[in-house]
Amino acid sequence: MSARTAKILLDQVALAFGERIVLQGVSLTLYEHDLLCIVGTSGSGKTTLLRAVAGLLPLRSGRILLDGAAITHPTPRIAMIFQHFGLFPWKTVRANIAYGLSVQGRRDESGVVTRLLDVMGLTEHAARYPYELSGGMQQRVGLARALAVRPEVLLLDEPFSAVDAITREMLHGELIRLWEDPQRRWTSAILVTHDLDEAILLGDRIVVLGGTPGHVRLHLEVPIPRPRAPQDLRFHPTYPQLRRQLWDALQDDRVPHQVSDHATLSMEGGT
Amino acid sequence: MRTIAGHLTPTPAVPARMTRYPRRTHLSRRMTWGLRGTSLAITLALWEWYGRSTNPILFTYPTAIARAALDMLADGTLLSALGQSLSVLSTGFTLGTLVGVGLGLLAGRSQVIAGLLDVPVTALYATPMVALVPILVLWFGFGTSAKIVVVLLFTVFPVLINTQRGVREVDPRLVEVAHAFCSTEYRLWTDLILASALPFIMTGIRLAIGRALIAVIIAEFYTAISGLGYLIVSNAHAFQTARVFVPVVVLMALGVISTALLEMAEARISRWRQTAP
Repeated sequence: MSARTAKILLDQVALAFGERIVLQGVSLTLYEHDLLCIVGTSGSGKTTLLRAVAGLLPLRSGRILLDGAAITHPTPRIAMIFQHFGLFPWKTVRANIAYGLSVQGRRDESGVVTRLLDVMGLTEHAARYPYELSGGMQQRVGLARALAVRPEVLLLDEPFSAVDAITREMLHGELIRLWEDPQRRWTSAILVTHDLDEAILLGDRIVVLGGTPGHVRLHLEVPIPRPRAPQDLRFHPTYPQLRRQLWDALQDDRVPHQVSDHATLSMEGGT
Repeated sequence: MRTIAGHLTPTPAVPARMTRYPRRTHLSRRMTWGLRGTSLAITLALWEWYGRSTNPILFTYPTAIARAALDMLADGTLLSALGQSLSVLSTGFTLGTLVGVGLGLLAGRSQVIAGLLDVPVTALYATPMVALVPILVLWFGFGTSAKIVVVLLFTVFPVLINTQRGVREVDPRLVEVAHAFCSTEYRLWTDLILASALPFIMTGIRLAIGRALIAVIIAEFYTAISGLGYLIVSNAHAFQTARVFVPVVVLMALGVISTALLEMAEARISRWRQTAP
């Protein structure tokens, strides 16, 4: 594990909104060929952290390095997928997928857009507008738009939390398929989620953020071998213990803030 | 029994999607135009019938107006007056729209400019512009430039206010998407700000057209008398009531046609909207 090369390095990162410190002392490494999941309750600062990695937020202190160089602005080497899809409603599906390339002044020489339309099953919707698509299809467009710029790192901000449960499972399968594609160029990804099963299914490693200000509370490897299948996940012998560990790490967050009776009840109910 | 009945129902998803709920606007195009034509015909017939029974100095009727229009076309007065009015209208309206869109974009994007413009824009928009015409005459004289300024002042504010609002309504999440994909400021404007403000700008322009028509006539009444305004005033003074109505009908047609053209342009531009037809 120590032989792995770091792709993105977070070193004692602190982030703040005005005077309010949201995250403090976060140190993490994202390696090459590594899918890191960040879980945390709402307000734990996980999305904020991802925006900082994307170069969208200035750091209060600490460093974020991409291949050893500090990230201070968005870079074409990193692409982001948004919880709210972030599609341009006045652009067609094809124009949305091509957006990143065009805005970065790059030509679509190898026909990436057409190939991604095909890969994502969107070919027949290429001329449609986002409002004509289901949530699942809109997020496929979001994925395709990010992949079209051929990034080295993919950042996924709760990408599947705005779609229904069945669509979410289908998109999980799709992301696994993309991850296992030997032709892919992106070698690393960070996925932010509040869905523990999603983290176990997709992640090589999982980090739990919690506390005020937020910090890394738990860091664990997912020992389930790839290829993984969503339907078999729960039958893996390590699954119950993994999930329990994650759950406990999340709960730590709540206990001190709640009245004791209530806290005990919700703990029992949850486990 | 319930399960059997359930099984007998052929795939519920299909009929559910085919269900047509009664909509308010369910008239066919033909029907709509038929109704419009009928209403027009009835109005004209009643007007004709009543108009013929009145004193021609005080009132008139459609066929008399049509005859007067033919006369005025034949002697060239109508077309030359229309030309004068249209040139004032188009110059003032174009300038007003350009200034309105320009200032609106700046005010929408910069808090400083918005702050500077806020009081004068609100005050001038609330002022009845007619009240300013005598002052404009003092400043710009009675000639064409004064008329153009009047039209400009009537059009600029609705365009400015709507443009500014359109820029304000830009989804901040999409601005972040643009930044995440390394958009330049120029591309941010073309991909995002202009595109999402465009429907608002079009609304402003549509409001401005009606006001521009009012402005032309006011300008032609209160400055050096000319154009369609001249035809109205001079014929009214000569008690040629049918001839007074000719420029009025022309103005009406101008308003209807330009609004319809703009609505078509709006529908084309907002094809991506869920509410578009």
